[in-house]
Amino acid sequence: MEKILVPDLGGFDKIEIIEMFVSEGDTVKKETSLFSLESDKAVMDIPSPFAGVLKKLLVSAGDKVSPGDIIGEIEVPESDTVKTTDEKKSVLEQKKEPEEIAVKKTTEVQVSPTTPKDVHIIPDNFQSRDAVFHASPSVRQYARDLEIDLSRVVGTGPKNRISKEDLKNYIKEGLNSGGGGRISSGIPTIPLEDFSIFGRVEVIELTRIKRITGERLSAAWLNIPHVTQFDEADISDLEAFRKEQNMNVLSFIIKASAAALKKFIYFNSSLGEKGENLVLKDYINIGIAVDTEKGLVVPVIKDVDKKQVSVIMEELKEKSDLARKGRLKPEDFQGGSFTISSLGGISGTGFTPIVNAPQAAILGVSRSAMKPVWNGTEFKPRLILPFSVSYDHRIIDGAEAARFTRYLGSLLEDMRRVIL
Amino acid sequence: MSSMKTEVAILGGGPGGYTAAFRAADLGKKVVIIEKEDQLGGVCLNVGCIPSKTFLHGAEILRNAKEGEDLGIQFSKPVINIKKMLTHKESVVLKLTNGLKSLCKLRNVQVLHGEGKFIDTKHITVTVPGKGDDGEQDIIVEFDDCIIAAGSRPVVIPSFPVADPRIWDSTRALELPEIPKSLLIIGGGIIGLEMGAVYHELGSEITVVEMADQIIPGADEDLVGILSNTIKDRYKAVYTSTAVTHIDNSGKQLKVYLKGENSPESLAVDSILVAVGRVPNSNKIGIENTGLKTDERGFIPVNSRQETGIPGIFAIGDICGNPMLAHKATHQGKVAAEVISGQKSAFTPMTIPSVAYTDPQLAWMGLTEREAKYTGIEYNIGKFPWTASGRALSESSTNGLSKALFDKNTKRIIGAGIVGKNAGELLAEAVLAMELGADAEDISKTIHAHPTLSETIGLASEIVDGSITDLPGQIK
Repeated sequence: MEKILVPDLGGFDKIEIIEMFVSEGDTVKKETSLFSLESDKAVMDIPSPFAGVLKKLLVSAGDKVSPGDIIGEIEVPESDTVKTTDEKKSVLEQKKEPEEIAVKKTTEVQVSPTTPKDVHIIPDNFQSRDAVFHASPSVRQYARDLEIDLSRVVGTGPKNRISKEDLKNYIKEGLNSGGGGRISSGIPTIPLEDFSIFGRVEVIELTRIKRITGERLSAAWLNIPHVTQFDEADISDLEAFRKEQNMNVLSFIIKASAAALKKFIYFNSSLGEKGENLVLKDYINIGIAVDTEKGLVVPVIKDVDKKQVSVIMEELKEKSDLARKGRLKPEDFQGGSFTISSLGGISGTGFTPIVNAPQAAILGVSRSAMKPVWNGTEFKPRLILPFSVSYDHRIIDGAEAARFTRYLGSLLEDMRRVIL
Repeated sequence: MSSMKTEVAILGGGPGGYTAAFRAADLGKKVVIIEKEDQLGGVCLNVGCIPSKTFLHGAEILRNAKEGEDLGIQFSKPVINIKKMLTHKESVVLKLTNGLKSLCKLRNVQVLHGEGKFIDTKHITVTVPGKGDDGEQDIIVEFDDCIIAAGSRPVVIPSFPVADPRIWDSTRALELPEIPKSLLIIGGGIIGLEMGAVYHELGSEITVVEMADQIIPGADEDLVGILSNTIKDRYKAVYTSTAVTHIDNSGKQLKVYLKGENSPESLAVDSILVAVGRVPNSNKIGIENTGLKTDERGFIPVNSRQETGIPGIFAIGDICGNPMLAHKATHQGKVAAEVISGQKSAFTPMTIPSVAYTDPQLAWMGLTEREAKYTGIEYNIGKFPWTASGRALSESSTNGLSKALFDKNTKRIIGAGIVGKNAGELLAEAVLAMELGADAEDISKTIHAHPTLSETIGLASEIVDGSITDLPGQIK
């Protein structure tokens, strides 16, 4: 019998099981997905570490689990296990199992002991063999005393060791930043009011995605000196063409952005460590902000510059669907070098998006509208798309930004330029 | 029928139980130990670790005397006085159990000698056997918290003849009932092989039968190979991948039927030691009255705080799972006592070391090489043969090997195994290194005294970091 543990998910704990794929008694192969967890914006399927028969499942959908929690037991066929004396023994006994071993099997499968979610208020702080940071037994105990989850602590000792000092600093940072996070901004906090004095209120929990997005947006907003450049493009010709091809505008905007990023490489860069250098990227991976029930997620379309618009459209559709179902994988979010946030489908004449740090810039697309345009002799109805680009002013100057938005506008006005 | 109240009741006075009791008492709790035997100390002190090691020491003296010949020292044939061996063993055990008694007194820990069974989740009845004219008496102990430390007992194989004085379990073997001319040991694990070493030196002809494809199946085969080659020369035979199907005890000798790849169909022996493992005592303590459920092997599941899921009931040691080792139980006992006393303790060892006190000794900790391979962990390994150790040569103990495994990514030590003289003692360094997150360079640059066997761990690490000079050079 092997225990199935929640694997180390990279510093997360208490994450929710959103779907179970197996039930007790099922025979599973190694790597069969047992259930899926909603973690950092991604849904992760947890594979079975062993092949065998699931004898016991201690969790169900909706439960919150942490790395190291026992979620069940699996009976592994003898040939598959690393042999131990105990397993060997049972063969000797196979003729007649001594009745004393077979403690009366109860009909209810529900085993009461060790319901981790109730009991584990204090982190156990096991030191896993392959964790990046190492805590010695006394540090593990000190972390339990301070109720610190060691998987969240960065060790500054030699060879990635976590010292007691690291734990104290972790607590201090937590206090300075108003609890929780590791960012200490030093800005005053906003005092809360007792809203219920003024009327009935209801408190609802933010989704995990909202909380994480919130943290990241705050970090970006606090760290990056933002400037937003507004412009507009006449997309009448593009509109006619896309209708004829039965395609959407956003896919063309993505493609045009890639072409603009190729020319204006700073918009596809990141500020290096301590702001002393700039990391230029040879790839153009564009993240698209997708509005879902649980919050904002940003799947990334890779190597946009090398893809045809039709391919981009297909991928966009596929990833948005997955995003809305909450089934994007971690790699679907990774590696973005530029982001587009499109509110064109809803309303608005312009907005100031927040840069998706550590990227350098973000494109905001608003709703296109028919406007009279003076062509030198008369007013003509033209379809005008308003858009904005927010950028990190440490990397990009205002003039550069104006040139970028105009170039992007010109591409949208005549998509043929994209292939030049 | 009488009753009493206590803050902490400890069911079982073995190493786990008494350690938990003393820790809880030191943290200010009123503690009662319930122990079914007349003496504290459990299997370990009375019929396990301590008596077996006492006899193994005797066996070592006999072997050293024999080996003296090679050094130019010859003794006359030793005269073995079994009675004296037994009284010596008993005196060792008594010293320890008396020590426990006085430690209990000093801490005001009360000991009730009698079998304890749960009535519900807050009460245990203790049946105290009668003394003199008094009949047995039931005492009801009411507790706030209880630590189950009721241990394990040898597996009994029902198909084997019962009540034949020639068929022993480990407890019986430690009574030295006789020195049989031929002794069959069923089960080539630690217990069986340690007893084999004792009886071999006392003059028995030993045969070992093991189900698995190697003796001591939990350890790596390169280490086991050294032990197994040694005992194959000394013993009559070691049959691996072999099962005992039937024992016929009608004749003067016991006839044992075997089924295995290379084994004969049957053997005739004078005595048999059955050492095929141990089962938890969870079905002997009225557990059904608490609502606690055991797993299918009879273990009581616990979390890292030794909590069972029933508030106020904890379990430690053999009864809550493998490995069934005293040093695991004592540490769990402390955790349980501390959690009861409101401390935020948890049982989070990276490894629990294993030691076989055979000749040569075999000791390992962390991952075995086999486990590392099976789980696909990338590792670097250093293996230092004792033939290259000056100390081993001068001790006539070159029959040994030290190896250490390091994770390729983190570089930290993830396992170690030693076969050879004093392997059990030598292993401690590797366990400490693992708990402290040492890598090969940390160990190799730690100065090990010369000439010692402990150097072999440093040298195995030098192989991994590439600085070894005691072996032919490695050009990197």
